[in-house]
Amino acid sequence: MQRWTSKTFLLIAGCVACTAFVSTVSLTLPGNDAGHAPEQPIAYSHRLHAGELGIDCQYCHFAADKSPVAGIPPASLCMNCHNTVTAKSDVVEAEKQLAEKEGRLARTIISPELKKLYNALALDDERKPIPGRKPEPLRWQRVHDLPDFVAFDHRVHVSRGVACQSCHGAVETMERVQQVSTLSMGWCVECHRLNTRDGKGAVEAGFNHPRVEGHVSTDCAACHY
Amino acid sequence: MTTPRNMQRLDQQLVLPLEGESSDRRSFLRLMGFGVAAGALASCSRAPVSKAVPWLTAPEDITAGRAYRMATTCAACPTGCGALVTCKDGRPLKMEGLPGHAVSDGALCAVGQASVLELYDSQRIDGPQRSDKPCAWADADVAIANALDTLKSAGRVRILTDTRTGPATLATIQSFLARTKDGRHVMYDALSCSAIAAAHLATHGLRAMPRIDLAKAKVLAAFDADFLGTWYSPVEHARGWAAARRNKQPDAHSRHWHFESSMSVTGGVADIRRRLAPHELPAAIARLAALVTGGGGIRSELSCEADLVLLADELRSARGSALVLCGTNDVGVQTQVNQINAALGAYGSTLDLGTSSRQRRGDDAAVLELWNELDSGSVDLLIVAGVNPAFDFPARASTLSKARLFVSLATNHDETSALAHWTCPEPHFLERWDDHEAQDGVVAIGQPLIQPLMNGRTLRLSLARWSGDQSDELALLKRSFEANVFSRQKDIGSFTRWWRDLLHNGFARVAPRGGAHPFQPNGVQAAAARTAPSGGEFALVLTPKVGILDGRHAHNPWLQELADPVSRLAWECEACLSPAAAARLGVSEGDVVRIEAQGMQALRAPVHILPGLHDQVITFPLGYGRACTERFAGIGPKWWEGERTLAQGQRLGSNVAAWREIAHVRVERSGEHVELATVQDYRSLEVPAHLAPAHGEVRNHVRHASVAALAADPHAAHAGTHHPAAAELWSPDHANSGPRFGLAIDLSACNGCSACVIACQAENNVPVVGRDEVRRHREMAWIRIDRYESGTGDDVAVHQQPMMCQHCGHAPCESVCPVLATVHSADGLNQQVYNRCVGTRYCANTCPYKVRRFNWFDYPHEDALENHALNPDVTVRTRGVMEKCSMCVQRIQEARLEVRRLGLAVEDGDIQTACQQTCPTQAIVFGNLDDPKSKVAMLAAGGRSYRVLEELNVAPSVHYLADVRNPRA
Repeated sequence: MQRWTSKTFLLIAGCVACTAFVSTVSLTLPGNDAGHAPEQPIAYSHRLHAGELGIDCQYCHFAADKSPVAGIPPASLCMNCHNTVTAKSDVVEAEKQLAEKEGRLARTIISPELKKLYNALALDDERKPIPGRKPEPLRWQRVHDLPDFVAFDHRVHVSRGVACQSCHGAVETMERVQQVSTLSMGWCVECHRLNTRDGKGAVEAGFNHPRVEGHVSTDCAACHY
Repeated sequence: MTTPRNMQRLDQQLVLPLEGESSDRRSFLRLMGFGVAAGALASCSRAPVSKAVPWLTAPEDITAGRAYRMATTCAACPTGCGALVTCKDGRPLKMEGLPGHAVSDGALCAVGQASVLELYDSQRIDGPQRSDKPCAWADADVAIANALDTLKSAGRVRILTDTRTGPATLATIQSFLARTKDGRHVMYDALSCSAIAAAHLATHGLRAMPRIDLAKAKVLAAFDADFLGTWYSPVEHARGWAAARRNKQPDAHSRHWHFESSMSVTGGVADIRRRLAPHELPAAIARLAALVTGGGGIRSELSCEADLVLLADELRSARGSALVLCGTNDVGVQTQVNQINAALGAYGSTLDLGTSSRQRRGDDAAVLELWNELDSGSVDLLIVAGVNPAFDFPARASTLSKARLFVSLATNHDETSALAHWTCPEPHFLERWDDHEAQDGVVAIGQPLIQPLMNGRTLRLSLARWSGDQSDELALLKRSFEANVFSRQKDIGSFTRWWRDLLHNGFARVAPRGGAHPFQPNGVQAAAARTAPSGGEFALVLTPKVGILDGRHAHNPWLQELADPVSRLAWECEACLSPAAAARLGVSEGDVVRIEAQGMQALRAPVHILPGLHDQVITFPLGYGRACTERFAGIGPKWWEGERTLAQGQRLGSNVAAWREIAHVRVERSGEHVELATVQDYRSLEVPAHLAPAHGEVRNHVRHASVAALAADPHAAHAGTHHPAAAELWSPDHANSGPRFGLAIDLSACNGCSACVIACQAENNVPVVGRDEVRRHREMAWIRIDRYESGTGDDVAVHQQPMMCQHCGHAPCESVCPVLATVHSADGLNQQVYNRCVGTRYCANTCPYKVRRFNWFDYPHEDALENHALNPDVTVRTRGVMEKCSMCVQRIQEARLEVRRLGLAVEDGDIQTACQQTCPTQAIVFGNLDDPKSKVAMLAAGGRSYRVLEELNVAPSVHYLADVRNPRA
């Protein structure tokens, strides 16, 4: 460079600014949300419930095979267990032993995350409704979300034998749910194409589900209407 | 071109405008470029995060994301059609007819379909008002209860409502009035059938309207009765009418004679139609009565004398399956109609007075008496619910204020509530409890399908509160039903069970109160005399429109934008003239005329030329000039060439209600001209001579034949049409194993009621564009009912043809899309992928049927409450995107995915498009064309079947069945 003109300087500054700008905003192409793992109002652990305790996906996400939306379970479903289970068993056990040693009644231990659940339902520590307090629904952050112009239907995928993990990854190992697939159209269509003819292609390609028989639509209107 | 202000908006989050740059053009553009690039990059971030908010305690029967359906009763008019409402996410979204219901049997009219939008009207009255200021319920209740205290011993209480039929409602009204010294319940209908009931009181001793069974009528004569369109119970009547015509054999097909002074949808589809001047009606009925009962009589001077003789013959031959209907409000004429029907044995076959219809119970005489009472200042408490007397009787509107205490229960602000002392609004029928008994012995429930969006109280509950009863709505209803209605049936012993069944089914049959009421000849009266218009005067005929009726739904944009099936105009208050009358006056389409009569303020309206109208008649639509139409001033897109639908503060059209008593008017050109917002310019089936080829081809996209011709040759409708053998575009090795969806539309069943148009709008989020855009032929309706008039003489036959995307096998639109936004699906649908469309509009250019609608603008969706009416299963299209009929692909998907999850197969009839579902005559059939046993395949293979513009070889999937008429040989 013979001399630094203001034009060149502006050009370089512009490139640096753009790079800095893009890297702060997004390193991926538009629409690719893989890696998204937002913080949730309650730090619910799938690793504990689905992995360690072995609760079936469709116990909580019961609408997955009946409805276009799998849905996040209502708080009342959590209370099926958490009406009685208030904290980790080792913590509760420790308090029980301490209480026995000290010759008093064991205190009810409420884990901090469960306290948030009871607060949402306006329940006190004894899980009785607090008079005068209004329950406030939990506002979960959606992890897997498709654009509004996509009409995705859970029930047909679930009832046709597509395992939850094939799209959502190994959720039973996730402390906090993370989106592992790109959920891009190409990713969806790949599986649909492999299943359109004879169904064998899907297993061979590594999709973690049994052979899906029958015709899987690759018509645009299957998802866009 | 972005302005500096725009640029600031783009940059506000990220980059400050560079300062210190010289202000010459090049630097300015450089700055622009960087700003735009920065803005573009800014939008390339992660999609905005949305929240998922589940229930805290999920309701048992509702699965999130799945629609559920609840039975209720439509109350958009007093007819009482049973409705099955589809609800999603806790809100009612789509009205459908309740299958098996005594009145609607699965279908619903255009007004019923549109009524769901009015639930989400943000301009409804939210809570009680004192004059026009909001107040508390307690304030209103205390004031009215105090007034009632004094009225126990003296004073007049009048409750003025539209037709109310529910047993609990009527019982509550009666018990309320019983606590007052002089209380009365007066009902009226703006589109009055009062004369029919009054006539039956005279001739049969029962003030009621008989139930009409059109399916049994082999010979039917209607005089000024638009029973398929704007008369009461159009759904029920259309179903019966179509049933009598389904069998095309000459001895099974009905014959429908129609005499009318206007041009209605019913008259257009009749077998034999004759124009009748309004003053000729009484004479015609009298002549027909003489012919039918006596067989002789003096020959009349009527233009239709010969027809009446023939008609009388046919009616007498069809004794026991004959029927004469008349829509006039003259008691004398109606008694003579009863006489004719009695002589024909109609009572007990096509008419049933034993289980009477209660769908119009208005009493014009009682209303007149009420006006006199009000005028004399002797009414102490006036409660008005469900009617708008200030609009329906504009000359007497000020009289309402003479009531000592005037309470309005209007749901929307209207002309009447503006005069009231207190307004205690009623909720919309989809959010309130209701009861109905539309037919004697058919009790029905209306149940709330959403928590009330506005603070309202039903008439029943208000009356109960003012009587000191603090029970809640449901308790009141159940108590009344248990006491009065439950005992009218003997099948179920437990009231709890019976009530639960009633709620589930929407209606129940109980013993009618009926009874035998034989005809008494001495009840027949003479008709009021009418004179012919003299000089150059015209006879004024006030006609309701299919979407507007009496104006009670004038605030509904869907109904205002509905292209009227008769005039093909939207957003217009047009006066109609026959071609000869227009020529006589020297006016053409769109010229504004001045209508004058003694003592009346002149009306001004644009003219629409309507073939088939009587040459001495000028028609004017009812229901216009409503104050609520002022809200449409800003409707539709705002752009620099666009004209507003209305000026600020202007109302749509003029209120002609005050002209009910005016028979003759003077009509003059005013010299002004209006470009009418029409959706169809040319309606004739004949090609003009100067355009016709040598052998005089008739446009054959609407085919028709007579019953006799069809009996001789099943392909008679296609006579004269010859197309070369169609070339197949796709090689036969591309086998299609799946369904091939298509439609079959029976033109002989379609009467133009336009229920399908509104159903499609509700189902598919079709936007409203406003008058100016309609004028530019940019209306967005995915389905339109084209009107074709065949015959060039004075009496035209009208053919209505629903036209939507034909889902062509060799679709021209699919070949020309540069981005493949429109492609063909494996099941035969022409798909439109909104997110791929870039708005070239090449597809709309190529479409031979012109059924593709382009979103020229982002049509306003700013009203958050109104957006609740949008169907979440269908994309809301943005500007620049093409849309068209998708054959309700969302319904197809829902049905297929649901049966797939259940492990079943889709059966014929499982999938119903919105247009098919609502059609009262079942004119539209959807199904799998490749399944030879499906209804659509059988219809498509029939002799009447053809496809529109077949010669273009686009292979449409929509088959039309030629129209069939049954004229005399």
